[in-house]
Amino acid sequence: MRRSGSFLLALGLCWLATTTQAAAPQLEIDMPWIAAGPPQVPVLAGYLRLRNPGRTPLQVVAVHSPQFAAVEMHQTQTGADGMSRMRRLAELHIEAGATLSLEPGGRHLMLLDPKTPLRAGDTVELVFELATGPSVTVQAPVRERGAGAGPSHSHHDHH
Amino acid sequence: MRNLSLILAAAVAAGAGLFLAAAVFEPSPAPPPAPVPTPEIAGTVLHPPRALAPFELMDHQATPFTHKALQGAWSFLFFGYTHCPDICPTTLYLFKGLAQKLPVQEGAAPVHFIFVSVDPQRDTPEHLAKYVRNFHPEFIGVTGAERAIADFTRQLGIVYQRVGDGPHYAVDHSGYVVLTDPQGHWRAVFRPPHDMVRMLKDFDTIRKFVEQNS
Repeated sequence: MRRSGSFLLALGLCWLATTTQAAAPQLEIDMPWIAAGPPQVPVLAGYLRLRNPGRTPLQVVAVHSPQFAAVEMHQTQTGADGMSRMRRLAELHIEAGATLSLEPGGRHLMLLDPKTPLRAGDTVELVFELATGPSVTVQAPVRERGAGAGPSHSHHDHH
Repeated sequence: MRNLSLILAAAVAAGAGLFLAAAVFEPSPAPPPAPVPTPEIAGTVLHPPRALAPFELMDHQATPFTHKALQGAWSFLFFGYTHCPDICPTTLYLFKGLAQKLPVQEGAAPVHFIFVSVDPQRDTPEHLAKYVRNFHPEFIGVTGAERAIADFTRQLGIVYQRVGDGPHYAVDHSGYVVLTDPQGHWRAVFRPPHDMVRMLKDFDTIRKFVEQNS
């Protein structure tokens, strides 16, 4: 009687854990896209919106893609002196309830050395590693700059 | 009565003296005309325009790019590098928009869009050709010897600085767009951040100003 009771309790706790996990997504990624570039260009830019629906800040500490040798996080800064500088970011910090936009002229993903040439219409898989919790994967379409917003739904799964 | 005569005589003498002096001495030179106020743009209009010192660069077809290449057309010049993922493609995309939206005027000078590399080490003519053609078939890419690029950019007030090591080093660079006229003279700079609609309007303003003041 006790064993089955413990078993049921354990089962119940597992169930509770999974529903809690599913009910509290760590990071939402909206409208990811990769700007199509000239053929054979070694770097491409990725843009997206990072949303933190939770109650604690989130940090993206690394990004990678099976289709690129490396992915870095950068920010373009244009100063009052007219200089455009690109600075590598160690992490992307998103406050609780906040949205962080990566867009042209500002923060962006720098995707280095594509393993095969990519053109508009292709898809790039991006994996976001967080300081705590599971990573988040999205599929980002490659499209021409200014091609339009496209559908606002995002493809992502948590694992 | 006598005093009045004296006063009158003195007045006549003074008048004659003045008349004589004016006839004999050169009039003082007229003051210089007030400088023509330049129109307001998102940047600066140079008036009078600046002539450029000779330069020897190379375009994306490996043909010499000298002051002759700037004559016969208005030219928009942007300075960047092909390993730049964000601001350079964004600005060239803006140039593409300008190229498509510029009104075509019969008999007017054509408009050229030129991408000058501040990273001649990596940006060979072949590399530049693939890069600029991706934006527009008529865009021009320019590279050259390190020294030639340094000299050309310096006279246009453009600065750049290599940052970092390894194959993917970055280059900090001025984000200004330079405008030269069909005589190859430097006419204006546009200040970042650039807006295509504003730049179109400003270009129109500059063209009209040049017409009225030539």
